[in-house]
Amino acid sequence: MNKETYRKRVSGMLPAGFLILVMLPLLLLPLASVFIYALKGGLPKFASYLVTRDVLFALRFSVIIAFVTAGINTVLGTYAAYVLSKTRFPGREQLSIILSLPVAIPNVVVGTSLLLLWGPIGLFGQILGPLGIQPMFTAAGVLLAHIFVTFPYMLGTIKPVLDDLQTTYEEAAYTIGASRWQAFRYIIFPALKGGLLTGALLTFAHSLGEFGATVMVSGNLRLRTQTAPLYIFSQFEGGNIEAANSVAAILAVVSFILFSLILYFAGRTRIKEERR
Amino acid sequence: MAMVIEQISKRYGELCVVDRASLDVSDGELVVLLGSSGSGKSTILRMIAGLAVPDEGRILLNGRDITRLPPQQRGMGFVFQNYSIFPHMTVAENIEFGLKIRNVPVSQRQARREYLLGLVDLYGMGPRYSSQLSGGQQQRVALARSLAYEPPVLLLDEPFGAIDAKTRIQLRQSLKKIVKEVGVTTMMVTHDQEEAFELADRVAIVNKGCIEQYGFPNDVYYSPSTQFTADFVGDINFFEGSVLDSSGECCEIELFEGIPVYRRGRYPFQQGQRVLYGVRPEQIRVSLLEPENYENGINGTIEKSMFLGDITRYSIRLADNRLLDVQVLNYLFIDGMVMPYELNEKVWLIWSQGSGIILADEAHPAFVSNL
Amino acid sequence: MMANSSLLCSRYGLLLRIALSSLILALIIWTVWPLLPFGRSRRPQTIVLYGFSIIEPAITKSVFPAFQKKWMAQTGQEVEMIASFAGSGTVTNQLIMGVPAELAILSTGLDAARLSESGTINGETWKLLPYGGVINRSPFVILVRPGNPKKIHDFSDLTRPGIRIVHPDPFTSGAANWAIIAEYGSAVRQPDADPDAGRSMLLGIWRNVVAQAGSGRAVRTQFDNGFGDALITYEQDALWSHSHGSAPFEIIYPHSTILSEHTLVVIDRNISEKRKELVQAFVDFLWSEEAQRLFVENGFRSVDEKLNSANRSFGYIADPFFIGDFGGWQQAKRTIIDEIWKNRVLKELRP
Repeated sequence: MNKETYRKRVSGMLPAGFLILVMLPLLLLPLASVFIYALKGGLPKFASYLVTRDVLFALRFSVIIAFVTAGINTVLGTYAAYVLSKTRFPGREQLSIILSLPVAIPNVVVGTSLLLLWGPIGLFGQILGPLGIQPMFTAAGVLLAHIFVTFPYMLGTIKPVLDDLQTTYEEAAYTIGASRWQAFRYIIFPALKGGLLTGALLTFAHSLGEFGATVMVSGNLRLRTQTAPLYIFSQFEGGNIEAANSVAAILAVVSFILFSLILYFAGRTRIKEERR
Repeated sequence: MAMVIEQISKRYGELCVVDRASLDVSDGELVVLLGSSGSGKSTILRMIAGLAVPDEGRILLNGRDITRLPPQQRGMGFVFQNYSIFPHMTVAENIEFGLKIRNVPVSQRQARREYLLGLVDLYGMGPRYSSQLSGGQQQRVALARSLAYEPPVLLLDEPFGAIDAKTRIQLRQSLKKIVKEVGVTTMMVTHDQEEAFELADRVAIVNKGCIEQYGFPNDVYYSPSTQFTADFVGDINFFEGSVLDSSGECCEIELFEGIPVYRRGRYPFQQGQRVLYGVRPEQIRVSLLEPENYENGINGTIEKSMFLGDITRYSIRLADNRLLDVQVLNYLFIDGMVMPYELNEKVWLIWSQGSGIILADEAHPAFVSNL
Repeated sequence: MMANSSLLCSRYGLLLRIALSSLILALIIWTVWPLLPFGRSRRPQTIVLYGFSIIEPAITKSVFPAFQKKWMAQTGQEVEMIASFAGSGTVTNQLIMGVPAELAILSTGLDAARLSESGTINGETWKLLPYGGVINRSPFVILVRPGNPKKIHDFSDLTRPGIRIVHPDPFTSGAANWAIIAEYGSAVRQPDADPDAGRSMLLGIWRNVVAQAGSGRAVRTQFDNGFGDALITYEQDALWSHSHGSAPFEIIYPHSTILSEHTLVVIDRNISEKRKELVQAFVDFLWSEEAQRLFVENGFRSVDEKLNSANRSFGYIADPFFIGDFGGWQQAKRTIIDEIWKNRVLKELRP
């Protein structure tokens, strides 16, 4: 009897065990090596790598950019999702595909294209240059790149929720007397809340880890425009593997927390949907 | 007139969904739009609510033209087929929503909410969410929510569509009671004729975007003005025929093989005009005896009988080789004394000269000559 | 029952909401702390410098701190360096794209020339600086695994089959361009060299290249991580790694090799009037005896020959040569890198 339940339990865990075995060399061990390298010199050394001015700046800069990116994309993404989901116009499908493209385009290309538009030789750059405005290689440039790159994540989270939200809720609100804004504020927004939070966290997380586009547009200046991933890259190139891994470990932990929250909120909205 | 709808039309591209529909509704009246799905009845309702704008025509509310007013300014009550109870609000918040939008003070809101919860028989359900309610309860919340701000007109779109058959019958009566108690002018849309007849003060038959007939339920049933109405409302057997004489107080019609039928009353038909003559199955009785001279009758052979519990349905082959269905109440058969009819038995189908419907035959309007 | 569970759920949710929002709030406060008015000290003056990768430790760890001290003593002002380091070609591309650099230290004069061609600087301004803009030098050497298991003693040994070489990428790295000239030069400077010696040397070496990286620094990281049998790099990079506890390796000094010359470029258009004095002071400081000694300490060979004896680790090179021996970078680039390496060797390798 006891042996039977034991066997059952073991066989129940087999698929998970197999998954872990497959994922071990692909994902888990590389991740583990980040922490191993970060902590190789012991905790005090790990901490000492983190409290340098460069690291603190890079982390702060990354977090600020991530916050602002998440904030802007929450508004922008919600608006785009609303327009794409609730209005009808020719080319709507195509626009929706185009707006999701940054996911599929290598981020380096995104960075280059921004550079070619806003840089000194680009269309906007040539207009703005004489005015003394040069968004590339400044925080504004980094922000532009991050908004561009993470936009589809917000859109992709909000649009399906809006698509599923029956128009009769909105219509009911209208007949009851609610203005467009009130209908959004009291009816649509509460339904979107879970999606908004998930989308904002997803955007935040992607912005925090963004590298390809940032490296093109930031100029990678320490204490000016160096984000945490750029710092990590520079340190790796310079052979300071422990320093790089210490910061990488911090990013990994933050991302783990963020994605746990995303899963939690995504799960909660799903439960609500089902109860409905 | 509380509300007048004048010749409104709505087209979606090439498709004409509503075609010059006109209706008038009196204060406190309950009008039912009856039609099959896709007939355009819901679109009429949506145009009244302001959720759709008519391409032509006008809608007047108490003499005021509201055709192009946005829904927010019409203040109509609208109960959606799926009820659309806001899922993140409690029942109480749902009901108070219209009052909150209108900045009604909290104390008044609460009083109104309690009154409405009582009215729809949902005492104590205020703190619940829609996910915790049955379909019937949701419907009543939707009703209370749309009555909260005292709308001039209450619009109900298939309010019983999502409710099981048994509950539906109970809810109909309570809906009618509530609406009449509040005294609100109401327009309801349904595809269920029984529901329509039970609730309606007046009923409008909607077909392909047109109002086929608008009147009291028994008028619509017994004096349908079109073949569609007659067919759509209840069962009916139609025969093609031509008028022999309609000059007097009685109209004489010749059916197939020269069988004459009579209909009392004055009819504006000319002699020889092609007409459709219809008689409802429940008006026909089956007999072994020939009809009296004040009755109409056709004979035929019983080809099929179907026992349905309280009634038996017979399919009877007539002389023109068509089948005609009649229903016989089973209480008429008495064990050992009056036996049910048997297959291949020759019987008479008999009905009163006071029943039957005569309509001009639109398919064969051509009048040839005196026979 | 249902109401009860949802109540539980909402209480749990409330706790979580509080925890989450306080977490986010804490994060925000920590992030913007330095930006708050009371958390910020007076901003020091800055010099913005972009450099090729190998120069980084020498500049950031010794030369600039020395200048900082000196400037503080002279003027009582704090000065800070905002810097970025990458492959010399990458840095040059960034400069052309418009990064706000005031100074750039490039690995080759070739990259400096690209800056003047693109209009980033007004003509060949670096040539007006002391030593034609060259701040220090470093011979190109070969790094091999401990014990020299493949018996590599000169560039010619690298052409043997079975040697695996890691090499920086000539499209982005200055070190790679130097290395190609070093490889080519070592062949053609042999007394009995036939006219085709340079090309066959390059072909032999590049046939053995197993990995490339974007900068001299990046390629050394690859080598440190165990890739390849040999790496061609700056002597400075090798010495510096030795003294900073990298994986063990041996330095092989070829008979003939080139001394790289690292060029300082002043990007005048990015220097505001206010900063001119500070930047000029730093430029002058780079050729001061103090700075040159620091370069030597860090493994670079000074432009001032008499200072080079201070570093005992410098190896002996029998036949050192310079880019000038090939007519300068413009000509060397055209005749060696483009015509021989790019158009012939690369095509032969990947037809």
